[in-house]
Amino acid sequence: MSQATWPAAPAPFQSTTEARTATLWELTRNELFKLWHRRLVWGMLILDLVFVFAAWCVLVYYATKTSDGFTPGHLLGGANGLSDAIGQPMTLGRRAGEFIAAALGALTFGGEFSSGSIRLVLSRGVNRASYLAAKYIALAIACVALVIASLLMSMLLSNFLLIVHRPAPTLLNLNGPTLLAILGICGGTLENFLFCLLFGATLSILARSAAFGIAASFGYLIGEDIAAAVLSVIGKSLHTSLGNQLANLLFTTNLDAFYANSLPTFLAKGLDQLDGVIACNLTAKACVPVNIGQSFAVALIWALVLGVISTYLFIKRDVLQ
Amino acid sequence: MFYPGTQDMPQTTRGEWPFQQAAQLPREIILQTIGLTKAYGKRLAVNNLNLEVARGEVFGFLGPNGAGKTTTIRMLLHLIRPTAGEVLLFGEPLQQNAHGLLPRVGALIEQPAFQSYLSGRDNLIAVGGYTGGVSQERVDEVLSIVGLGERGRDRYSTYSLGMRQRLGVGAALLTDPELLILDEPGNGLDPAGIVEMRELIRKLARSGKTIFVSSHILAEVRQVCTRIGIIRGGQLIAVGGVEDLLRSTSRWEIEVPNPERASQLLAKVPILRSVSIENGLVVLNAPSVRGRDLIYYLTQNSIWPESVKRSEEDLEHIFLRLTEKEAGL
Repeated sequence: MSQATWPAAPAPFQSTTEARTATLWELTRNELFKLWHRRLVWGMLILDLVFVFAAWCVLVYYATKTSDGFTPGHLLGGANGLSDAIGQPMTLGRRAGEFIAAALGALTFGGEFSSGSIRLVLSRGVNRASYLAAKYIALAIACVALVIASLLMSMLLSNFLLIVHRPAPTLLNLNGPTLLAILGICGGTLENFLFCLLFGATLSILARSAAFGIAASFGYLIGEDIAAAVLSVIGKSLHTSLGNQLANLLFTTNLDAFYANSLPTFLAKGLDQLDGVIACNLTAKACVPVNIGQSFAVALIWALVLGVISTYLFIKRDVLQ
Repeated sequence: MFYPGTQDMPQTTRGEWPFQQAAQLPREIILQTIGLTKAYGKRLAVNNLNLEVARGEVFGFLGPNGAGKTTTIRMLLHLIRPTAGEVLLFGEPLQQNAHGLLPRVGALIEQPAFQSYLSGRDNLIAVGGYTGGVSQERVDEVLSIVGLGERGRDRYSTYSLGMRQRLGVGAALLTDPELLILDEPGNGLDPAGIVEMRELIRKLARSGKTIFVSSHILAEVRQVCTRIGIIRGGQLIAVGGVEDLLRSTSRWEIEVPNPERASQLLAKVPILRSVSIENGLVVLNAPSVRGRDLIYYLTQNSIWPESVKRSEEDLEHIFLRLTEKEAGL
């Protein structure tokens, strides 16, 4: 008689995948999937476009009110008409973009800590450094999309100037120097967004909180304008090279100088109120030419400092959520 | 194979004590902690924890609140780093090869936490993405296993606590892991859900999965676990088979025509802790003894028992007694 055996239970499911850790590309794709399905991201993109549109409306309103705006040498006229018409709304809308990028960085990282979903991710054996890099890459792509959307919106709107004034610059006037100026604006805007993104992300990782990341980065962005003007004056009043260098190092965190000099003086001078750049400050009669190499170096140093801090904290700290 | 209920009667020489150690099959240790310690400042959350979980086991991890269960589980999943000691998964040190070992583990840690803006289905797709991606069919299959087939496309934020818990278990099962670590899997489930979860764990265990389950519902642990460990104040205070633990306090009452003779006979058996006569019954404190062994031994010695009854201490009482004793209460 054969020995009774325990009935073999049917497997509840069959293995379909080989368990392994995802590659950096797969993780990036996963993060993009999450961003794509996040309504908040789309909402922020729309908000940025609304700001671009609002900025365009304001510019057109003032240009039509004085009529001088469309004459050569002024805001929307002359040889720089098209780059001004496209660049001005973008530059104004960029202020909103900075806040959006900072919020996006803080929400993407801090949200995972706040909700506790970070432990689900890391308990799968995902390499922390790869995960961090994938998130940054996905967010950088979102920032690129933000800039491109702003540019397209601004380019589209510039054609509508014909409705309110003839002749007005349209895309048909696009030439090499104008394109370069526009690309310079886009490059500077993207760099600025990436810095804000990194700033928001680092603060949220530091505090493991999205709310803190948003509040602190917004505080910085608001305070930057005030501090830039104040420190600039202090730096000059000290009449020391150190004072000026310190102010430059603290606040020339973007590549504004790259395109500030490519814009008409009156337009470039307006940048200080938007970005707190030292290159064009309230007390200067014109833009102070800033070495492009220095601008790159300062931006790189900031990026490295923030990147190292966020990476170290993310990789080394225990997940307590 | 060695299955419950299929062991043959032990073969012994007439009149000899038949109890023998169950044949020990070679155990493949899937999860092991060696001197695992975690300190937060001066406070020891986990203190020199030594655990072993073999392949195919359902190991219950019990302990009162603040005992160190979650800290231990977090160390098992490389979420926090131990102050001392190490974790071995599948025989390899976790610290050195977390990326290679953890994809073979499915885990549900405390409250499940997913992206609130994604549907349950999209959340599973995203979770699958962390281990190289899973097919749509697989995601749908897992959703139906955990009873969320109908609600898979609803946003996670609309899920009840029980549904979130199910999704958490689904995420743990997604890659068909060899080892499952479930922290309070019955949390938030209604009675029917608890029964379903219990059945699912049994089914998984039968299909060869190794399951490490932390729970405070002792009855549930008893029903699904093969071994349990009890932790208190960061230290493991008891570990063993559920039945062993229950038997460790087993009290046997034997009704025989001649209790004095039976008592004298049984007193010679070293494995019995105590033998006495109470109200005409022979009373034994006999852990690790099976009733049939007692009957066999007595009958082989021409003592024919009227009844042999075991009264065991409830697991809940054992747990309370052990944890209180360790706490000095």
